[in-house]
Amino acid sequence: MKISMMKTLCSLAALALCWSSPRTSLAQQPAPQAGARLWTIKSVGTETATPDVYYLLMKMEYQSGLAAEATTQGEKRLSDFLAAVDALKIPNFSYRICNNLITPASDQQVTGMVYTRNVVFKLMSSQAGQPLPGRDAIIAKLEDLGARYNSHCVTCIGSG
Amino acid sequence: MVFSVREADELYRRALDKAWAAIDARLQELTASTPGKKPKLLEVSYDPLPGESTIEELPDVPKSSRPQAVEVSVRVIATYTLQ
Repeated sequence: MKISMMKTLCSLAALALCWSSPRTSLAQQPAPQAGARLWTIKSVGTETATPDVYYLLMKMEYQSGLAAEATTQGEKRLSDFLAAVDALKIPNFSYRICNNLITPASDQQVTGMVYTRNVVFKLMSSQAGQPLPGRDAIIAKLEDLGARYNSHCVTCIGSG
Repeated sequence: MVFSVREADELYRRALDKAWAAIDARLQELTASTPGKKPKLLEVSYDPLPGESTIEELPDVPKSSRPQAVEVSVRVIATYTLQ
């Protein structure tokens, strides 16, 4: 009997704690008053600007029967390509070479390896916030040069 | 997406102003329907990284090499209580 009463008292105490805890935590926050309502308003603001910096990704591939040859020839072609790019003397222009991948050729009729490197070009306008003058002509020259050196897939990977 | 810091801040600030203007307009609509009550700002949350974007996956279709515009978006969530 006593044990049963103790259990009941413990249950009541636990219930009282459950009731008091939310009140305590609410008091520490801006507590809504009686009849108060909560409004949650979501909004997305968007702003656009004309880009003055462009990052272009160009993929260069060389395929050969042997991985070593694909690598050597691929590097030579890349070097020739970059020399031709330098000869264009594009103002406010830079590039960096990243990644080198060797993968099996996916072409069903040709067996061998493909050596791939990525080149990232950076084109900048001379004046911040102003569009790059002659942008389309410059990019067309790069694409044309890339096509001659078996490079393709010119993609803008970032601008600002 | 790469910006100069000053340019990114300015674009972000303008996007933020637009977001708040939309929230204020909506708040006015709501308060008009509850005369005598005054809204109090309880909580605000923004995008965690202003002026930066995350590339979640590479696009299936290559993007244009000649983009016409860059875009900055900011999401604002404001919670009000009515007193």
